[in-house]
Amino acid sequence: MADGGHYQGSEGTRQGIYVLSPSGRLLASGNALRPGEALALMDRGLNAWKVLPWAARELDPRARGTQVARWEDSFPEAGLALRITLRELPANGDPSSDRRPPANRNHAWFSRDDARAFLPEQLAAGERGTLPHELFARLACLHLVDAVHGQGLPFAPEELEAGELSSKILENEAGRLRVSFDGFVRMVAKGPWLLGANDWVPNAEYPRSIALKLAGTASYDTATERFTSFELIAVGHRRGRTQFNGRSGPDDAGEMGFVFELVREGPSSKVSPSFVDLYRKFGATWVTDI
Amino acid sequence: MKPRCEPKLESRAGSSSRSSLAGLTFGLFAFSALGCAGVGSTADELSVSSESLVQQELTEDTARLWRDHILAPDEELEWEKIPWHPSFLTGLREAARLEKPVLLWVMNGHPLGCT
Repeated sequence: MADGGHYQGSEGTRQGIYVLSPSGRLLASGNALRPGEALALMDRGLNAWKVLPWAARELDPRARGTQVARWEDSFPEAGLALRITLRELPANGDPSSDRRPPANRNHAWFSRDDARAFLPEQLAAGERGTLPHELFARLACLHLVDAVHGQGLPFAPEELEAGELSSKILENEAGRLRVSFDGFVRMVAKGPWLLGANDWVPNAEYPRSIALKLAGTASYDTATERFTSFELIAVGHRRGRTQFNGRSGPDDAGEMGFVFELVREGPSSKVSPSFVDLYRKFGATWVTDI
Repeated sequence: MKPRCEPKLESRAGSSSRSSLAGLTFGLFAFSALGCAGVGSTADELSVSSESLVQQELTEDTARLWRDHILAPDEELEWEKIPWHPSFLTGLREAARLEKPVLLWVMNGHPLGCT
C-alpha cells in the first residue's frame, strides 16, 4: 500500500501519513509537516473514501487472521508502568525560563518484583534502600537517553560509569507509604557498540555521555503492592550525538531533563518502551521476546 | 529499527481539524528501514561543564520546578485525546467495523523515542 504513496519508486523510508480503506486501498498520502497540510491530506482521503465503491471498502481478508505477538503483551499489569517526558532545558539553569520545544515521550516498565525493589527492604519510616544495580542499569541505560529530537541509542551496562538511586521511607501510615528518591548517574559511550546484534546497531561509533541528578517522590500501598503515585525527575548534561537523534556532532552539548510518572490510562498507555527488546539483557526475563 | 535520515515530523496530529478527524480511524505504526550514512567521531572530550545542572543540588523543591518545566502543558497534549491504536491490525478492524477509512501515521523508528 505504502509503495503506492508519496515515496513510490524510491527505496528506503515510507514515513508519512496515509489514508486508506480497510481493504488496503490507498486514498491519500504525504509527509505533511504542517497542520494545514495534514488537514488537506485527510480531506483528500475522505473525499476519495466517499466515492469508493462499497465492495472496495471491506476489510482485507488477511486482516481477519490472528494478531501477531507484540511487545505490548508484556505490559506489567501488576507492576509499575511509567511514562517519560524528556525535554531540552535552559542553559541558564533557571526552571522559570520559557520551555524549549520539542519534548519527547517514552515508557518504562517494571514487574511487581521490580517495583518493590524501588523501596527499602524494611518499610518503617526513616528506612533507606538502594535500587539493585541491575535494575538501576536498566532504568538508566535504556531510558536516560538523549532522544529529545529523535531516536537515541541506549548505553551498555559497561558504559554506566557511576550511579545509584536511593529511597527513603518518609511515612508509613497503616501500610500507605510516602517515599523519596535521590540519586545520580553518569554514562559514557566512547568505543564500539557493546549491546550485540539487534535492531539498534549503529553505522559508526557515536561518542556520547550524559550525567544527571535524580530526585523524586512516590506513594505505595502495601495492601495492593502498587505505587499510587510516582514522580522521578532527572536533570543534567548531555553531550554527543547518535545516528538519528538530531544532534550535530560529538561536541553538541546541553542541558536536558526527564520526568517519570505513572502512565495515564489511554489508548497508547500500553505502548512499549523504545528499547523493550533489550530489557531481557538487563534482567527483565518477564518480558516475552518476539 | 534502523530508520533513514528523514526530516522528522514536527507537527502534532491533534492540531488537525475535528471534522476531518471524526471521519477517520487512527493507526500509529513504526516503520523499519535501512539506515543511512552517519558520521563517526574520534572526539574523546566528554566532560561535563562546571556550570551544568548536574553540578547543582537537586532538592525536592527544585525537582518540582523542573517537573513543571519539563512536562508538556495540556494544550500541547491535545493529540493524546485521539483514540490511536498502537497496532495497525486493530486499527484496520475497527475501521471496517465503523465503516470509516484509516489514518495511518508511519514514523521513523519506534513511535516512542522519536517524535
